Amino acid sequence: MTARRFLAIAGMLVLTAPAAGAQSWRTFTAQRALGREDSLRVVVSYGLGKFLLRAAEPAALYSIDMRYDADVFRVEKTYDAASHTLRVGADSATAVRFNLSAKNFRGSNSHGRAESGTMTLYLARGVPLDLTVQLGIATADLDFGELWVDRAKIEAAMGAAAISFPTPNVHPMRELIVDAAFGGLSIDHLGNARARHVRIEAALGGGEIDLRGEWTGEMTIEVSSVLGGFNISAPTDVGVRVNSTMRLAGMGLKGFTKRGDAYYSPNYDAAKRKVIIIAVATLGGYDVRWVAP
Amino acid sequence: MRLLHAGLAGLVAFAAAGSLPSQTAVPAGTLAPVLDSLHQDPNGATLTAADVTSGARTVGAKEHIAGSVATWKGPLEIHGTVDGNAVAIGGDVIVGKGGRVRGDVLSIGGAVRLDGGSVDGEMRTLSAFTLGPAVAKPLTPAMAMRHSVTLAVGWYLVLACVGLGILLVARAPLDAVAEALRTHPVRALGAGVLAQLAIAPAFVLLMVALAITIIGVVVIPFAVIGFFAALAGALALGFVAVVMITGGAITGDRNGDRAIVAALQPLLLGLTAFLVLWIAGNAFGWTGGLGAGLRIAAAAITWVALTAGFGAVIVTRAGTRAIPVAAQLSPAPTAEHEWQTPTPVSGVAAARRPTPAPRKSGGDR
Repeated sequence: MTARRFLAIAGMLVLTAPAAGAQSWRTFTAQRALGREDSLRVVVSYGLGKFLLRAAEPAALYSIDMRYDADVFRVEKTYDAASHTLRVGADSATAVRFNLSAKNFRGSNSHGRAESGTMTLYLARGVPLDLTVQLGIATADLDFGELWVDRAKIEAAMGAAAISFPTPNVHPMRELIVDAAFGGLSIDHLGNARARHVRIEAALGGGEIDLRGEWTGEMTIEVSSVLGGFNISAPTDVGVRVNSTMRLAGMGLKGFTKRGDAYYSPNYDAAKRKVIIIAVATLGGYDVRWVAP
Repeated sequence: MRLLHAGLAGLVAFAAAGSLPSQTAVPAGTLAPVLDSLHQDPNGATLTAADVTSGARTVGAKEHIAGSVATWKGPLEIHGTVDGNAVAIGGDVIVGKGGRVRGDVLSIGGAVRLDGGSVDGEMRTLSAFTLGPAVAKPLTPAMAMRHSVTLAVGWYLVLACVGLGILLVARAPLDAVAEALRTHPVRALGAGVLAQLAIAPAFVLLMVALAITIIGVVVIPFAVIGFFAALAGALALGFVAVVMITGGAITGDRNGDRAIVAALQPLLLGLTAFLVLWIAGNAFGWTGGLGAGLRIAAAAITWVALTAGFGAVIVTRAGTRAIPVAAQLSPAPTAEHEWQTPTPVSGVAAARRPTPAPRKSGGDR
């Protein structure tokens, strides 16, 4: 018997692992009207499923739509009116479960059709947000359009994460930290975050970083990746400087010139807005490409 | 949220509002567990039996309720003021024009609609509600078996990954440990038993030795992590070696293949053997005596494998050296004595004492 056959058998074992017991799908919604809050701190802890973040209706401080398997998860939600802190999430009620089959990850309804738990969080517009998102095995789609994000820290343990800034942030973001461990990451229109400092870490997956958007001055992006790289799309009017540390990795910097320890795009000195990319890669690499602003 | 305790006593879905006459009291026996569960639930609400009426209810525009208001199997419509919470158990809550709720609004099995009114607190909906305290749900034999099998498969995958990693990065030590296990299994097992007995004293000694020096105190946390990491690594290396030998015995390849891909075969086969062992041990757990016996056998075999593997790792200094010759039970005859072999056996020419080659003198012809 060949090793390939053995690997196939091992794969079959994973896929045919027994399913969990009966599932009880439930929905939970919560909404609070916008009052005199001058800020909102949000801590999301979501273990398994699909997480979406959107702007709320104009009169709402927050709104939560959650669908979950009550046999596996418990919903945690508290709001402290004094500190304007919302904590919300769904974590496994049964701690560590070693259900590795695909069916268990997705769940299934009474008709046997695969489905997953979802949580959609809508946050207030016009209120500065301090956001911490901790995701387990989950896909994430965070759309920061129409929001005022003052600070955001997003951690995704396993699963694809998509972050987008379709509209410019109301005020420059103080800090943006994205840590995507496994599964890939894409950040669209990062320039609209108007962040002075961005830190992105990824392992096993890499992804796409689109720097388009409305920002002025200088933006520093620290990006590090292991086993995977990033394609960085920079607007043509932006000057790009790259300081790189590559370990068994490479950089695609076509047209860049090296001065000292850094690589500079041809338009760097003349550009009105600049981005400094501090890139660290192990087994992977980065590619900087140009796109229309 | 306590709604979701695994194995709760019962699930009550309030699908439709009943047609009971409005504003009648709900029997206390029916209501008490509901109110208790609602009170315990962080996303529930605190109500008293006096707050709840059966069927539809409307709080009029001029009405002012100092506490909370709730309906049982009926919609709740609010046009006045409620200082507490507004709850509909099995119905919608509508906060109409001019209505104001200073607390939270909650609907279980229905919806919350803001129709010109205002809510100071939070508006929540729950699709279903669970009653009763948390009770451990007894596992059926099938559920118990499934749990055991998934656990075994999980360990299989973890160990397969560990084994693959060892094959990739520590092939030479793995081969050395496997060789020690093949040639001296009893010695490896004995060393493993002694090493297991020595783990706790060694750890204590290490801590004491570090604690009595100023610099050592600082490194104690690192030493603890390092100690257990080394222990786990030794156990993993030894067990993977046992697994490789087991897999090799199944396939008939007792020497081991140097190619990584080919070495996956005995690794996965050996792991599968242990997987089958544990699945068999757990599959009959519901039978009582037989299941217990099989599980004890599986545990014993696994312990022997772990111990022997651990011992082989110790004896070979983590696979960095071969097992000492002095320790071999029956040393093989060495080459220097071969010339003393007395009589030729089955036509093989007798060995001769090695003699220096004759000098070339040109007179041999």
